[in-house]
Amino acid sequence: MIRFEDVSYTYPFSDAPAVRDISFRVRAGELVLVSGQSGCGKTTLMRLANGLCPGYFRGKLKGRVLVDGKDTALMPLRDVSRLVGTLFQDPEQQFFALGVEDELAFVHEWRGRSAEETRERVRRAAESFGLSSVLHNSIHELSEGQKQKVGLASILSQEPRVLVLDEPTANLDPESTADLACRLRALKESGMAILVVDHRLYWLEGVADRVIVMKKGEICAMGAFSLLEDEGLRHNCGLRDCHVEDVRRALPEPLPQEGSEEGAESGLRVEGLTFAYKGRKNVFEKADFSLSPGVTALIGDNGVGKTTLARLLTGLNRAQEGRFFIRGRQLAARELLGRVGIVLQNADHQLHMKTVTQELEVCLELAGRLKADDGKDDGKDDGARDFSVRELLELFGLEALAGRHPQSLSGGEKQRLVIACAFAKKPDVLILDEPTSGLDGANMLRIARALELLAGRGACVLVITHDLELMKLSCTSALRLPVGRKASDGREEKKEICHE
Amino acid sequence: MTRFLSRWSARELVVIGVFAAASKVATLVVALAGGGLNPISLMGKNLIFTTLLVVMLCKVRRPGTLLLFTVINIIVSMLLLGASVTLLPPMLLGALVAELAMWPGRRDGGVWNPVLGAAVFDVVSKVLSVGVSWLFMRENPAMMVMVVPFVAIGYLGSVGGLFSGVKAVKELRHAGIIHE
Amino acid sequence: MRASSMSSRLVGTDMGRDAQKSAALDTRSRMFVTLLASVVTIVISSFEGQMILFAASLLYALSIRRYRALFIAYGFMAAMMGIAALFTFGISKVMPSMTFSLTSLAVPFLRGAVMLNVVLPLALTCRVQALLTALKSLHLPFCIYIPGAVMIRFIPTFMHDIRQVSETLKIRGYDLSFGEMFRHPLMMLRLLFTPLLFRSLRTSEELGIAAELKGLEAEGRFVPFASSAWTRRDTLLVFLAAATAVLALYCHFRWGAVPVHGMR
Repeated sequence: MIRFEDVSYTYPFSDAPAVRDISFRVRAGELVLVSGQSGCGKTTLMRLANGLCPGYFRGKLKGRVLVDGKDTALMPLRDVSRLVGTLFQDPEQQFFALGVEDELAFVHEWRGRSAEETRERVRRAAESFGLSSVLHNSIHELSEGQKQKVGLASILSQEPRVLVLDEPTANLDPESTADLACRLRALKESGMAILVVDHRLYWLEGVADRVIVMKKGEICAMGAFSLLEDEGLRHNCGLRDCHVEDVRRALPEPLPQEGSEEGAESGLRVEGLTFAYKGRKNVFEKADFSLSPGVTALIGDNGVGKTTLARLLTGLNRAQEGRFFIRGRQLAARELLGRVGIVLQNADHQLHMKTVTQELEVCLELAGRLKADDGKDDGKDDGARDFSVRELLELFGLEALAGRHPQSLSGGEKQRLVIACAFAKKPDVLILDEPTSGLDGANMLRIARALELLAGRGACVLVITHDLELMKLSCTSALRLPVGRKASDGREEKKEICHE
Repeated sequence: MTRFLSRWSARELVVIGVFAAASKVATLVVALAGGGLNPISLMGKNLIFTTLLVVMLCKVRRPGTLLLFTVINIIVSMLLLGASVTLLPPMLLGALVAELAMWPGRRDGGVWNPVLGAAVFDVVSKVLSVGVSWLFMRENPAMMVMVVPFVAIGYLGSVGGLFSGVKAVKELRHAGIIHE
Repeated sequence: MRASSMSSRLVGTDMGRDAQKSAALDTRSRMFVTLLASVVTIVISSFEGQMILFAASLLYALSIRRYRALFIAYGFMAAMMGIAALFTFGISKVMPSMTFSLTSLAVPFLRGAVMLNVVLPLALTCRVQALLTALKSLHLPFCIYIPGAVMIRFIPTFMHDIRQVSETLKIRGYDLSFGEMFRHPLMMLRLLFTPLLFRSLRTSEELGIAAELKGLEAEGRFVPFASSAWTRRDTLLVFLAAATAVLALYCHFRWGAVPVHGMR
């Protein structure tokens, strides 16, 4: 169905080819997984399969890419798009409408289908993806898993013969990931050819027929899924693990703080936290918890209040009641921002300067000012000196990018930079929201090590993540929401994965 | 006319739509934050609008882009924000004159043709909007003395926007997001 | 209108289905009323004609039953008019040739009120979510509909983005107080809006790709699967609007030439 014949491709404004000498095929009823370190050419491979290269990006193509026997370079992109459906990492960026129903209907309306036919297609798509109950919702009200279902339902309602997915699990929780694996298996069995480009590998065990590992624009290994068992290959190509244990139930609760006197405590303690959004029921009601220095995972179902807690701990939202203690000292909500750092999900919003170095310098300068304003040190020495720009660049592997414009970096590079900026503040508590989504194995490991380093300096690191590998690598405890729920009550249990 | 309407590619139209949204949101936020009559916010919102306009014209170089951008802005603003329909003629005329001004340099790849277009659009639409204000207040011309300074302050922001637009394009080129 | 209600409308989490149902009138008829009112109110310069337009448009504004929003809008307009009156009074003192009289301000103020009365029902009954349906019913060509739809789609997203950017700046330690914005306006604008500029470019790139992959093209035939319908109520509204305009014009030409309280 998809066939690459000795393909090399060079983007405009670039001298070196992004991919070289690529030959492989994906037959009808097959699923092929493509992985490799960031910048290895997997995205270009995906763009070649769906005709974006050279149809949209122009550039120089050598060799042929055939879809259903037709050369994509000789077809207009609209014809290729009727054969190949593509789902991106962030499906919301593909949506043209604000409502689920409007989005599902959009393509059919523009293809001139009758109103009745469009309505029928929308109904069928919504039913088969369990979206009927949210059909009249805004896309902003959906969870990441639901957004992805809307994206996939919209594509499949056009009845393509080939499906291309770009990092489909980057924003998904383990349950939605398992659900997606089930769906892809069913699509494969219905005869669809599927090409998946992803850093996460474990979820396609038993579903992928073949795996392609890329390095520096070339295929460096191709074979069955078992190929990924080779630790040397994984290390060499910056891959993630191919088997991942779900440690969410196994992680212990954070240890309670031993002393309540100032000076005896080393972490964060929260007492009687009560918070509700205006006109809604309480998200937290007289909640007590504490965190010791170390890396703690913040675990809970969608909508349980993970992000709200992060915002309360940072002072971005004000609690109706509650007392916050850091290192035994009670802090007012407005003082929290000087002590607590937070890394939000969207890195684009957090970069303002013209070079990577400038970005870090400004962060260090602001951190110094904050410390001076808040009298953070309280006359005590916390035993750790401040980071320098050079140290931060080195810690996050950004040395080679020091002079680059932050907005010109790749998603993974930006992610590392915003975490480095948060480190510049040398916070007592650092909260990170999905810090490793979309990162390859090598960079995920780098982030995990950096978090451990900060924790080793006495900081409480709280990680909101769906990334089971990160949890396993660096988290030593888990704070479960709603506060007070124990792992053993079984509500965190993972759904059965259909292929297991 | 049909030829004009059908020669746009979806990607160009998307850029126009996204920039129309960005400029609307940015100017609205500045106006809400600073108050409608605050000179700083008045200058700020014009500065942002013109900056975004210059960047958009550098990104989509097809003649008619500014006209289309203006039409979209007017329709959606009218429906959603209750923008006065009386602003329509000055903006449309401003866009038309700006398109004419950009026509000779339509094949240039640099930033100066978009800057010229944005400058002409700002001047013409502001002058004409003063004209519309006069139509509204012609029974009491003294009220115009209140309108003119505000338009002038806004225009100063637009002039600043031309410079910041050039700077933004340079920065985008440095970031590799816009190519010559 | 208050900033909070404005932004909540724009953020678009409220779907607007209810608003659409309660609106009952088609967007096209409301747009017609707005266009007609704006032309007629500019043409008419007599107090009587403006009063007819004002009375009719006020009834139209009240028909949407958003009394609170209307009250706030009128409050804001009154404040503006107060400032204008003060300015005019000041000028009359500096330039005696420009005499000050409250009656001479009446017609311009009535014009403003008429515009407010016709624009508010259009804006308040057309929420961002329902706007796409409204846009479809206008039967616009591809090159206007697509950017319009994209604009509607991204207004809530960008509102959210700006909020996030300002929070990020607070987290970093920037002072976002009003005083600081006054002292360093250019730096603040850069900090707040540079991410928005880059986000716009990135979004347009990604959505442009999505558009190509969805096979959108100018020659395509667009068949809306749902659009708002023109009903008898719309025809009645258009008829009443036209009748009011004719009556106001009649009054203007019948009595407008004669100065009333010194006005023309």
